Order: sequence, then C-alpha cells, then structure tokens
Amino acid sequence: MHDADLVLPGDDEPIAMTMGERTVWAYLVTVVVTSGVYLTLMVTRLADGPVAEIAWVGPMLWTIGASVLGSVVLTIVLTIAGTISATIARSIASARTGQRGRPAAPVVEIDAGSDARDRDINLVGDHVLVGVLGAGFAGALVLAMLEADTFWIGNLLFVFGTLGAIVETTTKIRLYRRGF
Amino acid sequence: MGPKPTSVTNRIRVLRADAGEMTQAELARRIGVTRQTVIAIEHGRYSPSLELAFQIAHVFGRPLDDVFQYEAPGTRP
Repeated sequence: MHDADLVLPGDDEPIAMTMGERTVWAYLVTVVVTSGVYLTLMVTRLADGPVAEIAWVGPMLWTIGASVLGSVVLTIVLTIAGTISATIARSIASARTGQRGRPAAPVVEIDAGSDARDRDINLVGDHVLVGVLGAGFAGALVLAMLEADTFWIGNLLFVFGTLGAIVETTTKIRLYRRGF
Repeated sequence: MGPKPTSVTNRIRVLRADAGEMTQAELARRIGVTRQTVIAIEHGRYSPSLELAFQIAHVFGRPLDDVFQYEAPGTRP
C-alpha cells in the first residue's frame, strides 16, 4: 500500500485554521477595508482643492487605529466562528465514524496557538515586508529632498505601509496553504 | 495539486500506523506543534527544522533517515 493511501483514525478529522493563519486573514481584510476607505477619501479631497488645505493627519490616525482594533476584533470573531464550525463538523464526523463501527473520533485539537511553522512563516512574511517598506522609505526621502508637501510624504509612506501589509499577509497565506 | 515545494519526503504516516495507529493530534502533542503542522509535514508542504525532525524520529524510536528522505533535484525517475 502506498503511504498516501493510508488513512489512520483521526486523519479525516476537520482541520481548523491555526490561530496564526486566522490572525493573518483578519489583518489582511481589515487593512484592505480601512486603507481603501482612507485612500478613497484622500483622492476625493485631492480633486476638490489644493494639497496644502487637505486635512489628512486626523483621518490617517483614525485609519491606523481602526486597522489595529479591527484586526483584533475580526480575529476574535473568526476564532468564535471557527470553533463553532469545527465543533459541528467534529460531531458530524464522530457520528459517521461511529456508524461504521470504528471508535469515535477523539477530541480534535481546535487551536494550539503558534508553533515552529508559524514562526518560520512569520520570518518570510517579515522579510518581504521590509523590502516594500524600504522602497517606501527611499521614496519618502526623495520627496523630502525635493521639499514636497508633507501630504505627499505622509501618504507615500502610508501607501507603502498598506502595500507592505498586503504583500506580507498574502505571502503568509500562500505559505500556509501551499507550503514551503 | 502542484509539485511539492520540498525535496524532503517522509514516512510519518506509515510510522504512525506502526505505532498503534497514532493520531496526528497525538504526534503533534508529543512534539509541541499544532496538528496542522504535522499534516503539512506529512504532505511535504513544510520541511521541519533539524531539531523538530529529530523530535519526530525520537517519538518513533527510529534514526532520522528512517523517517525523512532527501531526493536531490533531478534524481527522480
């Protein structure tokens, strides 16, 4: 028998998303939504008047705050939803295996926090994030040397921060899903 | 499903069967990782660190190369 054909008790238990992956998904969704709202607001204001009169500091601070708070809240919501769905799936699986005369499936480990794979994935994600932030930093330096309005410097850094978060989280999700 | 991202293969599933049908959750508990990580290793989607590989081999009481094998690129039939 080939290794891949082996199915041992418990192997077909539902596989819950780890806490690490759940946090990454929550962060990605929150950043896309909050940054999308902020950038739409800024583009609208840019069309309405001169750059020097645009109020951007307050909205940006609110956006950053909403990103942090939103990702925490969404992680909690996803954890609760994941736990409920895993419990239901486990009950269904247990009932099914019980009907076949096999021992009832053991209690599945729904979430055990982060481990070595989470840390390895975080390292790769951080690595790509630093690359994007470095490009944004260089761009902001150039704008400062050209004495550009602080609106452009602040928002360039914000855009690269958003891009960095998106590249970081999608990289991590790819590693969680496809491996490395 | 595309090609496995690692050239390291393993016999963990067979060894679990030989070890009284040890569950993935039990192996995960004994080496201190999540069940998802054990699944990723079994399916060749994650190459564990040397230390983690030794811990897995220790659980089964086997030498490392009884558990993990390395196929150098280009040597597959």
